[in-house]
Amino acid sequence: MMKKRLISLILVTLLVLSLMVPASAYVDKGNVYSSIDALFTEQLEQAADHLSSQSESLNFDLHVDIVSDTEDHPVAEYAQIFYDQYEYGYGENHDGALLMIHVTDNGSSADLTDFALLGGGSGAELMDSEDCLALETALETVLSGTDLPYGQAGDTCATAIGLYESTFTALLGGSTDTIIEATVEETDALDAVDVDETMFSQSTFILDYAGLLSDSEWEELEQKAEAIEQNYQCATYVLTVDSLDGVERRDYAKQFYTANNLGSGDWRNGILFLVAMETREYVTVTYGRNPDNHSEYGTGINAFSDYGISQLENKIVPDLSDGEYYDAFKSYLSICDNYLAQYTQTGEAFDVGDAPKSKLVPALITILVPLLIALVVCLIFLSQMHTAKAATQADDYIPKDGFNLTHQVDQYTHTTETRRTIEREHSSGGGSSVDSGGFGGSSGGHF
Amino acid sequence: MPAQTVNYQCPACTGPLHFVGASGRLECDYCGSTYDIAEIEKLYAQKEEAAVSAAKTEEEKKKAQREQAEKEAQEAAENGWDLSGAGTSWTEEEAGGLRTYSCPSCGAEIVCDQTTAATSCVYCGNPTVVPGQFDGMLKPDYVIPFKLDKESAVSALKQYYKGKRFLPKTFSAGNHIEEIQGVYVPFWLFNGSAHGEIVMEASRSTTTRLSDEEITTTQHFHVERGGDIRFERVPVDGSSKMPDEHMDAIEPFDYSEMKQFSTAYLPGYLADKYDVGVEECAKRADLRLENSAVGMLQRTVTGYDSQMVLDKSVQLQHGKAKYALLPVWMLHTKWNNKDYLFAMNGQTGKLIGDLPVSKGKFAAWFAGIAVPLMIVLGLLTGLIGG
Repeated sequence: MMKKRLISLILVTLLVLSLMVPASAYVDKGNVYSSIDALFTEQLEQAADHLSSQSESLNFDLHVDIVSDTEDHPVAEYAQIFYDQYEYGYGENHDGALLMIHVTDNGSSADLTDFALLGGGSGAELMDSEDCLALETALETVLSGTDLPYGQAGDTCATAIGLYESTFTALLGGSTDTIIEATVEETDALDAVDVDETMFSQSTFILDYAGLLSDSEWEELEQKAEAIEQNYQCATYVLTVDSLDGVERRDYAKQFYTANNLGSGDWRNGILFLVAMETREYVTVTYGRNPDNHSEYGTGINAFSDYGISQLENKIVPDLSDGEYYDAFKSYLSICDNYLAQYTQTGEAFDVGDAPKSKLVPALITILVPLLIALVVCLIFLSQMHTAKAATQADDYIPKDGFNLTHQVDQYTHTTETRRTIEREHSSGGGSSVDSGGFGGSSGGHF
Repeated sequence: MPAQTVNYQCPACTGPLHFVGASGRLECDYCGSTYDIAEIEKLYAQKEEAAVSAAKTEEEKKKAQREQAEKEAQEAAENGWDLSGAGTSWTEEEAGGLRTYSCPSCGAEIVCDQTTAATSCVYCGNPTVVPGQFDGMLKPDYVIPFKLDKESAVSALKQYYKGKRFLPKTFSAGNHIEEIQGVYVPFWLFNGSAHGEIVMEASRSTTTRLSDEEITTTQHFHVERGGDIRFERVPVDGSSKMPDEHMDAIEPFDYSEMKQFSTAYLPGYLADKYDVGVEECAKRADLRLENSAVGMLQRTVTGYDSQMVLDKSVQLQHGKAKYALLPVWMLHTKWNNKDYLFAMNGQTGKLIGDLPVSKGKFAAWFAGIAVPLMIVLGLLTGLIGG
């Protein structure tokens, strides 16, 4: 049963991702309107594109309006005004839905103030469905944050559009995409956006869609990940897939994380290690931030410094290359465990500063310096044993007035200048960097 | 037949006189009389001359004897007897290297080599001088009399063992001084001067640190130095029997106590005449002079951070070389069937000589320093004990 749920989960996710083909050269906002140009990131444009095409294929008008001003109307009311005024919806009944996102423009940054979701025609009936309520809950989490850079706000909107689109695709049950199979049940599809807490407590951390692990291995890792989540309220995921379907690996991992609402607690703290077998790619993403204040990051980001993640990957990628997937994931979990333990105890992530500095240099110093000192001392002692030495000079036999300097030249010739760049201590560049979507982690690579 | 050797006798009791470094006089062990060098010199001037001619006559006689022996052998051979295997006669070299004298005191034969100028009779212990050795050109110009006696040499050696951490325990405990001899070693004393020129490149550097860059500015200089350096009495040992290293290492001698040569300083000690010529020894002196001249010039180049000698030349001018006998105590010990030779400056007491090294002690000291340091460093760097 679990396996089946997993398969459907990944299929739905793949559907979401597969729809995101690269943006065309011309900008077609399609079914998405934004009153702030700056929000139109590449991601948002892609999401808009897909939304338009998906609307047509579903024969259901999915609109998204991003507005900076609701003209003193509550956002839900304003959305209704838009829906009516611009005659959204297909057919006589104006079947369709509108997601209105109210963004406050601060000039150089944006606040995600509010949003409203409404349906028209057949869409209105769907609004009361569990799926739509779940979508609304999910959107509440996603569409929040103040003082976000435009890019970040745009990306967040794109994520919201992804959720919005996938929910309705699932609800309407139709798809032209070949990846979605007929066996996909409506209820299974809900998992994609279900934020039910109980569902997550049962969910797996080791998402082995590529089938790299045996059942016993999977179970062992799963238990370990569960223990970590309980100890630190931070989820540690392993995601293995056969193919990324042409999506950039980091985007894939981020979208998967968002689409499946992964993470622990309200802050959705977590780390996800993605392995794609077809292209032999891997990537790590981390997440975790205050749903009420998007500039405040949680354990998922803070416990895993950039340096920590690079060390983590250095450790496990060789195992991946060797095909030792179980070993790799086991190391991954225990390293995450260590990082989280250190962060919980000291409040500071494992970082460049307290990195296990190469022990080679101190070891060499510890061995060589005493040997050198001992050698010097012993050579001094040894020289005391050998005193019958031929003389090489006759300084003792120069009388007091015996030296007469007759010629002395000290002539300046030229000046040379050498410049050497002082290397900064590496440790100054620690910490965790976070992208516009609030994700940390690595850029990944091939194994 | 006049005696070939001179044995200074006490004018009071005819007992043997010997030179005592501490008092600087000739002393008689029997009646306790002491005499000035000059006094005895005067008294024995005649006797010495007689001894020289006697020695010469003796040598001629020996030559005749050798010729006689050869002639007999030849005759015997002619008579059909093969004597070639029946005892070999001294080769010219061997015979030439040895001298026999009769002790003026007990009449016993003293055998010594050609260069020996003063020795003691092995039978009666009488100090004896072979004055003919210092004839003409061979007469030393100066002598520095012994100042330290045998006892101080022995105690200096014991002192020398102290603080030598690698010395095997059994060496100082189990070794015996096999032989200890006060020797007047022939030295050539070279006077000369050197004119040296050096060309150098020198530089001064200053380093400024900016926030992200370190700038080193180096000023380069062309430096020349020339000068005359005078050397006085650079000693080079003229005895092939004495190792050069040992003789160099006990330098310097205090020339202010140097005396005009007289054989009266010799009784009681061994004395050699030189057997390495002045030309040969001058080579060693030249090398030392050149090095010193360059060193003196180089030391006048100051105020630079780095310097490099590009070119150097030294012209030496040889002055007068003098011939002197300098006092050296030679101590010879044996340990584990190996010989160890020590030399002590008979004037200043400086003692030198190579000592055996205990591998065990070397290892123990090496480990004893390195291991604790490693542990301390290991603890400091956190490699041990985390």
